[in-house]
Amino acid sequence: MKAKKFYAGALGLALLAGCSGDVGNEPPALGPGGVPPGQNPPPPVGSDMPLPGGPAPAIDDAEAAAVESDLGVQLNGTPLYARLVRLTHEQWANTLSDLLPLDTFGEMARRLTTDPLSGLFPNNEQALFVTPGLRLDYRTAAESIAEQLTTDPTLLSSLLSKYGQDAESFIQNFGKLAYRRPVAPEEQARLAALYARGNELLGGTDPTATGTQLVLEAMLQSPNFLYRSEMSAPGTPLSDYELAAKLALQLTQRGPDAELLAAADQGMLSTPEGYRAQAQRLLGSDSARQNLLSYHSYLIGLSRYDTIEKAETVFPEFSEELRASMIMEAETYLDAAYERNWTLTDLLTSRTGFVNEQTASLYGVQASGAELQEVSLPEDRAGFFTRVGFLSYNASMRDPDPIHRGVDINDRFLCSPIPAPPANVPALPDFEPGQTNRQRVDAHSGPGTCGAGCHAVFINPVGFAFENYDAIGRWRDIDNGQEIDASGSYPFATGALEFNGAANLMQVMSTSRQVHACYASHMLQYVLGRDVATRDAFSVAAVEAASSAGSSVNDLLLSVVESDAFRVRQGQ
Amino acid sequence: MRTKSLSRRSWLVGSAGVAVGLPFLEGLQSRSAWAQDEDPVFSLYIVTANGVVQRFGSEPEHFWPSQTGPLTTASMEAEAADRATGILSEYADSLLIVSGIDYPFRSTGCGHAQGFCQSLTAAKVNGTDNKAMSSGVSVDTVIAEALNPAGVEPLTLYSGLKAGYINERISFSAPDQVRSAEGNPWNVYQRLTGLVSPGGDSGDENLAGQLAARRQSVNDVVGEELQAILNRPELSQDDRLRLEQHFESLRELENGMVGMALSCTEEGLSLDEMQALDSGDAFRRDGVIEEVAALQLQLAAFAFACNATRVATLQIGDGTDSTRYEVNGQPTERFHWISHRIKSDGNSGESIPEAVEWHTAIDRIRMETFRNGIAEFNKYAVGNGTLLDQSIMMWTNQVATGPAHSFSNLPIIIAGKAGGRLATGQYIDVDGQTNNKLYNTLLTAAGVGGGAPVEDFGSSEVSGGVLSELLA
Repeated sequence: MKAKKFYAGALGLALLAGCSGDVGNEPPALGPGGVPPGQNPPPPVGSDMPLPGGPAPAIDDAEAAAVESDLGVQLNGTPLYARLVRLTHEQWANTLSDLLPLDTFGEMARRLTTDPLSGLFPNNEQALFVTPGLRLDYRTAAESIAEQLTTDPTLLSSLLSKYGQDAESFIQNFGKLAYRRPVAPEEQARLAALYARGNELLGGTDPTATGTQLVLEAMLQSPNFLYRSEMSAPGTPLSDYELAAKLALQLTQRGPDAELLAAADQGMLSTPEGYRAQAQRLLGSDSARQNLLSYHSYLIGLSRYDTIEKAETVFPEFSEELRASMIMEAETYLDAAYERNWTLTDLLTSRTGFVNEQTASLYGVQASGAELQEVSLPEDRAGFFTRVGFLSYNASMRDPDPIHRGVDINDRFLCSPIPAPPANVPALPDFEPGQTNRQRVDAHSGPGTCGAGCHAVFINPVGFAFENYDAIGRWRDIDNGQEIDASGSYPFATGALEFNGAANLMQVMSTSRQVHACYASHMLQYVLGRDVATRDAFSVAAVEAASSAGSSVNDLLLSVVESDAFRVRQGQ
Repeated sequence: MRTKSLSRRSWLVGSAGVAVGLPFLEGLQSRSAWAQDEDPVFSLYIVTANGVVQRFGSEPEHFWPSQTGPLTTASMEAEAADRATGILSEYADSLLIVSGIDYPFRSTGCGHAQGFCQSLTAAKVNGTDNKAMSSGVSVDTVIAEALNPAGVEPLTLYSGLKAGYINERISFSAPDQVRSAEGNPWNVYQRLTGLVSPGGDSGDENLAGQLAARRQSVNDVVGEELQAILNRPELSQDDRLRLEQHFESLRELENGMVGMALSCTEEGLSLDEMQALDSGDAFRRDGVIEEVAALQLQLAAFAFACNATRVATLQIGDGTDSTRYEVNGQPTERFHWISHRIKSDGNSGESIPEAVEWHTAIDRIRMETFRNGIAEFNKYAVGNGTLLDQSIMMWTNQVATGPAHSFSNLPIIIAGKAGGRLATGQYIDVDGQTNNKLYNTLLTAAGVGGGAPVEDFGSSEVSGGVLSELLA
């Protein structure tokens, strides 16, 4: 019962239609207005008001560890809980595109010093800081943007009519959107003083043009533009403005718009209804759709598919066009999750396919032309992992690669604790006459070999389920003269489950709590923009419960941004 | 001292991706990069992936020269068909090939990541696998701090795929902080050319002075806003460190990049090729790794000749470089698989019968790229010799061998004479020395100690000192 108390108190997580109930360790559904049953109604409006129910209680580490172990996924990240998180280059470009009348921000972002990789997702706080090189890039960009906008009379006039003709109103109005909060009086004074020196410092004659140019240069290099902040005390909610910034940046990859900031002005983000209304509005935007596609693309590792290559002697049908079609198909499939309001189970098991003349024959269906057409695929094509992109990527130029198919799914969808392989491992022996791929891999890495711990238990069973798909993803019944055996058993956290073939494996996975928890931990990582650790086990469990109960991935996003993990200051 | 300010980059002035003319160079031809009495040394460190084909267990030897001792063009040429190093024969006189160098610390996980982390740091590795980070700074950081004007970072270059497991991982600005590496040569070029004042060195001090004053005023405002945040007591130590780094970087690089070399010219830069690779992010695609590496080497030479920095690094390939090289006009399996000799990134997979042949061919391709890079350095006339004579170009690999990921007998090839400070024209076996000593030696040759030997680079857990046989 203690764990339940934590879910209700520490999480306050809103569960949506289709995922109510109070079963086992699931968190309770929130009542009307997002308030958990039995808790106090929301406090009056005000940006610094505590959340319903008061400050979140401290997290019990031992209990979190127990929940983590129960979920069967490893939450071993090392979050910094940074109070200042730099915008990603994507967020930088999108935000500027919304604020300023230029259309070259995407191109400019390509010139910014890139961030070193930090985990699966590029928005992890660990990589987001300002290096000396990036600081020069920001300055170069700010100077160029300011000059372009203020030396062209048409652009300048459009800028001023949007934000105000005089120094004070320009600084106030542009500043609010750029800083994602009202400009403070001392900031206003500093910027106004700079504005007043425009002609002097730029050697110009039009004080409005030069003043605006200087102020733009400064504001675009300001930490208040470049970083999103979380300044509230540990365990207390973020301010309305901080929430507005976080919501917009994390759900749409761009800064908050005027409507969201107006809601913050009125303290509406401190009320569950007001907060939810804004979150839902953002989730309905095209940016949210793009954001969900990005999340899934990173999760799958879609960018790797560019390297798919096949031996001409074995697959004469392989071409650059086929590879491009595979990638386009994978993207379209992942994108469908948004509009069709798919659940994780749908992603794992849907037979909706998107094929063209290049890929149709690989699935045994008909299609003409280069455009993708929606079709219903045969029963053996359940979900993303039975599609030709994944199957071809995880294959050599000639043969399917059960080991990497297994590793990919273990890593990204089962969160299994597989260590890195040891170095200097002997090669697989050559095929013996009549031996199948599976038999050979098994003989080398299966039970009784040195690879037994990882391969026989975790990797090979998952990979072998896909043995019916060749190296470009076409169905096959026979391997080296023998009938394919795609059966196996996987040790889920809740116990071993058996399956036969990939479609069946996907059905089994879609009912596994561990798979939903793994997906939940990745979604939290992406939406929170940080690693997840054992302390996040309650949040993971709550999202897992919603996903297992059939919440769409869109609704899961909503539940994440409504969770304390998102709204309440974590860390020190 | 003449002050120097920095201009915006031309890429931002032009519309999407259009190159803008760069008039700066004409005004610079008449200036020399450094004063007559100076003797600068430029350092470039190149780290590749997946090992080389050298004798190890049953692996054949196709890399090192057959015997230690003096290197001549004739002796190297004679072995060029069998030994990858032979491809560099033309520059025998400027080469110092060193075997017997090991990493100080054994691998405790993925050798690729741990190798990269130690390759230029000689420091212990924190974390394992794709989380591995160096606990110390890399050699380029030390050189930049000692020899570059304050705030001028090392040039950090990259070529190849960034597949997302272990990307850039050789240059560390601080413990656990890896420096971002630029994989797009066009961006590198733009950054370098942006480091010149708008009045150029054509002598328009007025314009330069005006820009400096304006930037100072803007910086003052930005700095005050940063300081206001830094004053917040809520910040953690980590927040504070990051913001302080940002704050520090606001200092104008007034002493930076003063003047240009006599021969600093964009003639001979393959700008069309760089732009073509920029378009649609083609530089990131599979199959252009060597082309990009060649351009990056060209740009490193350009940067040095223009005195923009004294040090650069180039990482070729990510941790488990999966580039598909073409060998004899045919595509091959992923390089990482080839280096394992099996169709796998891991420890089990079908054997690749052509693996050794393919890896040997890839070593040779890489050596040709290096040779072309040496030629780029040799092209710039400097003082009585060439830029190559004033440089240290070191080529190495994250691991010594493919299948075993060995950390012993790393391939070390140094080209360039460091202004006559290196004992070039030799192949020396130092027989089991840790790489911190190699770097002590090269840092000394680069002038980091200001004439005194550098003896304590890298981990304090291994013995220090220089390898005096490498010094002239």
